[in-house]
Amino acid sequence: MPVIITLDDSTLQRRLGKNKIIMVDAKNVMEAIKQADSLYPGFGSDILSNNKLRHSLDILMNGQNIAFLEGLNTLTPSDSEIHILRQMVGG
Amino acid sequence: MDFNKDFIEKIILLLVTGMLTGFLIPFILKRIDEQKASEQKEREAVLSRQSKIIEAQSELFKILSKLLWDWRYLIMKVAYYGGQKNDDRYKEALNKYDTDIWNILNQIRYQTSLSRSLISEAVYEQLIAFYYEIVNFDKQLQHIVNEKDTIKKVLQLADLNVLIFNEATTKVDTLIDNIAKDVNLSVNIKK
Repeated sequence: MPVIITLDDSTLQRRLGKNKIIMVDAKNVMEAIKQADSLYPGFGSDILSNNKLRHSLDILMNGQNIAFLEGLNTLTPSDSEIHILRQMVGG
Repeated sequence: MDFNKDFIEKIILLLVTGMLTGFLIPFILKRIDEQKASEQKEREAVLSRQSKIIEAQSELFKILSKLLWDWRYLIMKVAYYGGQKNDDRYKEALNKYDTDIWNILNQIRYQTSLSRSLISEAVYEQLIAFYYEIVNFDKQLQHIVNEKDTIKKVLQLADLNVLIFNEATTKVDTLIDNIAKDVNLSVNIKK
């Protein structure tokens, strides 16, 4: 079940070096993050803090925010795309 | 004989009436006036004291509101520019934070202490609790600032940015609103 992880943030991408995407086999978002962490050590704690998604990050699974799905337990069907983006708020 | 008795009675009555109108009634009226003046003075003293309390409460409200928002923007700037990885602005904001935070903490704690005689115990407790939250935010920031992993540092500052924007801001607003209601400075008083 290949799942593609893409990152919409230069800080997050620094962990990947020259690669732009991560390909993993995972049943759900949490598993995808853990597998990505085994490929790029430190990636997991970039995304999660105390096993929860960081306050400043949003994850879209095939364009839908996982906050409105099953959170980190959201299932990842074959060929799904996990897009991780960072939000900053000024003012 | 009867004539004399009647005459004497009238004379006595005349003298008594004269005494009453000439001495006793003015004396009673004077005492009433003095009593009224004393009560008026007392009322004015109470009003003056109440007015001074209202002035002090109003001043406390203004000073505390300003200090809480000053703190909120001081820490927000560090988190925002750090989370954006805008290094120059981040350093500038962090230096400003390091310079100002002690004074802001000192002022908030000092005003909180003074507030005890001007606000209810419940709102005073809320102020104390929020002061400790500010101290915790400071600890959190110091921990992030010392993070060696640059990527983690940026991500943690971004987390702090969102946390301040969403949670700390609401808490500051609620606290200021509670103080206003407590000292009757709000049009929406609901205790």
